[in-house]
Amino acid sequence: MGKRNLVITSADVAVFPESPSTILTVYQTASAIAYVLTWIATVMLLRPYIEKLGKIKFWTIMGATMVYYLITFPLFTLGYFTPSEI
Amino acid sequence: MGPKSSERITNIMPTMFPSALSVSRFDGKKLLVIMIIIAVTLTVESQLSMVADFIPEQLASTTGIVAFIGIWVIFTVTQYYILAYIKQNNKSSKARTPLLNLMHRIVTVVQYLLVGIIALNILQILLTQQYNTVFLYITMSISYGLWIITLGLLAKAFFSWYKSKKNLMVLIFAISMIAYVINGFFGLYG
Repeated sequence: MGKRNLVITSADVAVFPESPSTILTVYQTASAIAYVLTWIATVMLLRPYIEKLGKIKFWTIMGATMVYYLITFPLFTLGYFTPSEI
Repeated sequence: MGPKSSERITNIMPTMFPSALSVSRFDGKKLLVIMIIIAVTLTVESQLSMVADFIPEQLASTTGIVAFIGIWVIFTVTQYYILAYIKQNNKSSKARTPLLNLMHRIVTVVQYLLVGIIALNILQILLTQQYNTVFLYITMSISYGLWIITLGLLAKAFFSWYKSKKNLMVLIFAISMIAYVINGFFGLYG
């Protein structure tokens, strides 16, 4: 935090340096584990709704949240898609 | 046979505001609408934060500032209804847990504190065309602090529930809450 500018004006580009790699790795790993486990537990919790919604609708809704995460996580969180690469 | 007194209590919602959006008339459908608004706004906001490095000029433009203020307004209004809804539910609930009421008070104070800090930030941007990052650090520290405390308590509740029920789903939720707490600690530290 100490490395960052204290005041950002309209002419500046706010750049927030990344944390040390070990902290970032633990942060991202914990985030991924938490998301996947929450998704699994949510599927288990909502499973009775398969009968009401139908299998296709249920798995489309639940699958969409996981697909969204699997696309955004490597691209933006792991940094495979950064401004320096365009 | 008439309803028991406890059942009657759950159906009584004292009128706080005479409008159609008053908390007293808050049913499941209205809550769903509020949740959809929050989900959409959160998705847009998180996507903007992910691509922020690509579009610094657009974010600093008038449109960008208006979008930032719009997101702040949406969160401020929706959080008011959610906090009020939870308060009503806690009041009408049969369960009497002092910790739950204390947590509700703490969360309410912290949420309005965050709203106030962001409002100061917006005022600073509008009046001086610049902002102090100190406000951001304070906001992040408070947010992560609340995140760690609430999810830590939730993990504790899930583990104690698992002890008595031995349910796999509850155990998975408990472990995921622990992972979120670790995530919060390292987010705060980073």
